[in-house]
Amino acid sequence: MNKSKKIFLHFELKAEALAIGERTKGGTFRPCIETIPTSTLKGSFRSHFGLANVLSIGFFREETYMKDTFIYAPFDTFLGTAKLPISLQYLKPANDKEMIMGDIYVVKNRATDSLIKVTPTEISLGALKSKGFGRCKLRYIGEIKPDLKIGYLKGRLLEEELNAFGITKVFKSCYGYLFYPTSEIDGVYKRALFERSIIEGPEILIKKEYKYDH
Amino acid sequence: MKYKEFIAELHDIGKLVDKQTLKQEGIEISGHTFHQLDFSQIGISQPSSPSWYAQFTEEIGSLASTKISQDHLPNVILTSIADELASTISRTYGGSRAFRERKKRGDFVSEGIHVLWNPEFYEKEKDKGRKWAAFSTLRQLKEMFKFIDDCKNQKEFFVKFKDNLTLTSEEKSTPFNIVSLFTHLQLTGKIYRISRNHSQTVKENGRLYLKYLNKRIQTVNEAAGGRIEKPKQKGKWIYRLIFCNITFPQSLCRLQDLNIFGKRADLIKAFSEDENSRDYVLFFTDDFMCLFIPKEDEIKIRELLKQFLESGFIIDYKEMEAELNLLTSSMERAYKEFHSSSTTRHLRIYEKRESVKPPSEIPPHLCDSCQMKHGKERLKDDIHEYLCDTCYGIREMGDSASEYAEWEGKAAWMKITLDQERLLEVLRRLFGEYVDSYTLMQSVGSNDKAELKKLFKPLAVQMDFVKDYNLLLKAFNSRIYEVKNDEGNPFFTKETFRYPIDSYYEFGIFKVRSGDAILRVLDLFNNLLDEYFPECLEDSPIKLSLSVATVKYPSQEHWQFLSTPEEAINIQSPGSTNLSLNITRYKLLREKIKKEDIKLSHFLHRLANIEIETESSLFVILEIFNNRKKFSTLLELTQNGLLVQQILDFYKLTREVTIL
Repeated sequence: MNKSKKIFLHFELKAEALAIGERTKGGTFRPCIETIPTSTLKGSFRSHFGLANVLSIGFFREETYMKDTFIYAPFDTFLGTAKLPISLQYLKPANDKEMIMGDIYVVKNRATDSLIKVTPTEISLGALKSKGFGRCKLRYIGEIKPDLKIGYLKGRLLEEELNAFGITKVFKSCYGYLFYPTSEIDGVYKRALFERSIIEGPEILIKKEYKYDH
Repeated sequence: MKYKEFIAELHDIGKLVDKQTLKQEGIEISGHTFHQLDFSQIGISQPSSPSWYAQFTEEIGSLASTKISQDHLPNVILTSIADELASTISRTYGGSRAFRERKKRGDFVSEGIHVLWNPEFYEKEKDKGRKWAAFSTLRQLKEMFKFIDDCKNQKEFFVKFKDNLTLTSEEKSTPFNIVSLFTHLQLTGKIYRISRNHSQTVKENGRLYLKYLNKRIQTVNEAAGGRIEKPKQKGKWIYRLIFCNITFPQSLCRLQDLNIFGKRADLIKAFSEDENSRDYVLFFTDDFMCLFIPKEDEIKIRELLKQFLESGFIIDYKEMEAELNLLTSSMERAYKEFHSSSTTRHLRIYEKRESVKPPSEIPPHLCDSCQMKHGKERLKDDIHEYLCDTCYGIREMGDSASEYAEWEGKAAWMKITLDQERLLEVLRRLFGEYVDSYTLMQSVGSNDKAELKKLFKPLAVQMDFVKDYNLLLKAFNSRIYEVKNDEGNPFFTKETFRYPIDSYYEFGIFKVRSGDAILRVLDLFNNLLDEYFPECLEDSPIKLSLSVATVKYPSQEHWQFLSTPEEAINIQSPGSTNLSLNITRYKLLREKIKKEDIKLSHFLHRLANIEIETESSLFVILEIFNNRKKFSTLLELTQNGLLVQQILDFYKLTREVTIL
């Protein structure tokens, strides 16, 4: 794999309430995740800026958020009845904070350079947008060229995107799946690396350094 | 002649002989092996079974020895390797020459085992009439030699002498007397059989060798190498010590998903009992296994744990691959020490994961439960779900918690957990205190003490701890139904306190009609910790978590809380309280906070509000100080490090009228 350092565009994100769902179904409880997967951002950048296949990943700053539960009853328009109430977990600002803060890193290329000019702006992310969740302010911070490190991955990204994100080696794979749209109405689930995988890659993707042999 | 097995465990049977008492009968015995005993002195002939030669374990260190027939030499050398390894990876060694000489003279000899977390254990057992010695008379001594001749297998030995082996320490001198002979011999036997099964005896130019992965050895030292402080004494045989956490991807969104725990416990039990794999398992709990296995070239983890992987489990493991004498369960510490010196010896640590590699793409729908496979549509009770065959199979294993689903009101999910990482820290602390403060150690110099502490390796002690942990779980399971209410009747019945998974005693669910139910469970846990682990109350590696909510509360949410315990006692009531306490603080709260004190409740609420509004503990302390005459206990509690919010949470959770 190519070991040269990748260049990322760094954006700051602010939000009041966000529910990026764990893809768990089959119950009345919907947990949320604490990072922003590549697939979520890809969809958002496509719908807001018309940019297809933007490679980016996001992380919320610890200490700026906490979890809470929102209960709602989805409405079945066909039957005209309410379904079983669902408990949706979401992120809200921590007690002493006004906003959830996060960082989004976009792989720099000619197409993504255009994002610099459109910010500051607003985007929406995650679920229940109709109920006011997911509105985010996005502000460009600057360009970064992070060093390579070996450690535990702190986000979720598609396996086929590893190279594009500058990940040079994977020592331990914790697999999961992310949804990948193939058309406006269809898509597939693609294999992805999840948190706790051990990788060699840009330090912005590393939660904690790995200190043993590999 | 009928074939007799070589039983490595019998090499230390002599440690069960009471030499002092025998001396009074006129029988002089030195040491704990009998290869030099004059058998005419006791009027019997020397045993002739293969196991008899285990008596030469400490005498013979090379395959070139001519003291016994070549037929028995490989077994003796392998026992010797296993014995050395079982000792050195399990306690401490070293000390100055003067200290070692004093030890040899018997200056530090202590009767019976010293259980680090329960120092009164030996005396209590003695009071019950149990004895460490199994052979105290001439008749019994003769029976011992007959047993060496007749014993069929190690199981027979362990069953027959269980009490004696548990009360006898592997090494009788303080501070080495912390491992039971039972555990030491279990460990020795396992290591012996593993190294026997993975090595071959070869003869080259008339010389005998043992070969493992093409590394041939003649002596114990050649195989095991020197200890960690000997950078040049390289050992040829490299093995692995592995800590496996057996996890699963299922999200527990239905009660039937709890069957996964039963499946995991069954697999671990089967693996630990199967004659082809049991020796690899040094110890285990319901979600964890410690394995001793050869290098990956000889045994592939993926193949060894195939059954777990095929059933959809994930193995997250930490592996130490090292020369035999460098192996230890305190991996991180050894790794740091190893890398602080320049050496070409072999010690590696890896963190890895084994799971069935999932396909690169899955068309909709993804399995609703595990999210790792394609889900087929399943319809049950008018509910459509997409489940893979594995997850569907788990649901179909039965409705283990069906009665719970019928309950009304509130219930608590309970999980008891053994935190292996914390256990290692606790064992090190306990050993340090033992070395520093035990009476027999008073005359030992500080350098020797420091070295003994530094070289401590906890593996066998860990094994003993896990055995006691399992006893605690069993005791909890039986005594929970003996807890009485104020009228003297059982507080819980099999209907109100359920173990949804058979024989999985770490996990239970009980009805909470009032805070009293919570207190009874906490009290029982506290009492059992006091009984089995009295020295670990401050930093207990055994943790109890309770998640209290209405019966319909999502099981995933319960489980998320139960699987990440912080302290010895953790309680959550979603949306209301979240409390973590060590046992000492729990005891203090239990003693000081009376449930019927309504005035105290109001005052606690006021304090909690002040704390939230001011974001400062200073104002809270001031308020407590101003009211110290009225609520003197509060001052005492806060001075002991308890936060007002913790006191309030405890009060809310355990008061008679439920306000959760």
